[in-house]
Amino acid sequence: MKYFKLMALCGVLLVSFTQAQAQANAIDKYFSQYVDDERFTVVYVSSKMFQLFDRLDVGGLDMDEEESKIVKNIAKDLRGLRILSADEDGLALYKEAKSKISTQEYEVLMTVRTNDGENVDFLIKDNDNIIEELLLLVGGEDDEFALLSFVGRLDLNSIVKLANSMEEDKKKE
Amino acid sequence: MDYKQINGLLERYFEGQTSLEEEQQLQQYFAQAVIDERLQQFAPLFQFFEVEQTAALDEQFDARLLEAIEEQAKVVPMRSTGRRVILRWLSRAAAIVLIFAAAWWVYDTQQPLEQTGIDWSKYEVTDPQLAFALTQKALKGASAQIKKGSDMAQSEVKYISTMTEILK
Repeated sequence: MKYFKLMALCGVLLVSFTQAQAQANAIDKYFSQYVDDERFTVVYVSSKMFQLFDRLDVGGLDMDEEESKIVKNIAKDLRGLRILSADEDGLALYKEAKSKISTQEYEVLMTVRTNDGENVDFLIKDNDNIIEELLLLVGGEDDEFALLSFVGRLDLNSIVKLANSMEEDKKKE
Repeated sequence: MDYKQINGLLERYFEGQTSLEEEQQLQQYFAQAVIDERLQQFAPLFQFFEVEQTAALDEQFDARLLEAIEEQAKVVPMRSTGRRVILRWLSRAAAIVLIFAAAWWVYDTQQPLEQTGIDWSKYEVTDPQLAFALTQKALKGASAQIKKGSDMAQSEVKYISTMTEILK
């Protein structure tokens, strides 16, 4: 009986920890020291804010209507946006960040390295094919570093749609 | 004692109502050489009691008993030296390994959580318009990068296919 109780306790602990872990995002997990670092600019948009977007009148901002519609649509399912950016040591930070992220938890969606020395990585954490977090890691020789974490149910298709709508805008101009 | 008396005692005996003295009387009667024929059938019973009651443990009994117990105690571990002991130890080892694995797992997953003392509210954007602009910018950036990546992949594929076309 003693062993059973012990096992049950362990089980409960494990479950509670995995649940707690599911709440965390990559920045909390791997980059907490960056947040307090003076070199970085930190931005956080909460899920409450995303819910406000629906009622937000963006007429005052110079924005394409089609675009803001797509953005609102994506933001509806977002639970948090965290941005870390820096204007120095772009490449070093990029390499450091990349080595920190557990490849077991995050799957590489896309890695791009352009010939002007810019690296872009897309990493996703998914659960049953639903994307829970999208990480965008940018860093290169031009000393810019950015780490974006989108937490929430993301639809890659609508993100691509956004790119297409931007493309069309350019053509119009 | 005559037949009637004994018979009466016997009846009460089987009903469980005889006193110790009366039982003594019965035993004495059946210990005699001459027993009434009609009572012959009960003789072995009381004779047996008589024998059993006089039976005593001899002096060596304790020693023999202890010896026997000791011998058995020796035999028990001998018997279980085989598979059983291995199995028992294996299960213990497995339990320990399990507990350690669980502890390690908990420790491992707890580690990053301990660092999450980030007060995000410090960095929270409270102006909806600004938040929207930022989100849009972030999404557009991400979107543009995806597009760039896939475009690059596409042009690479085109390049490779034209190369193979030429080389044909």
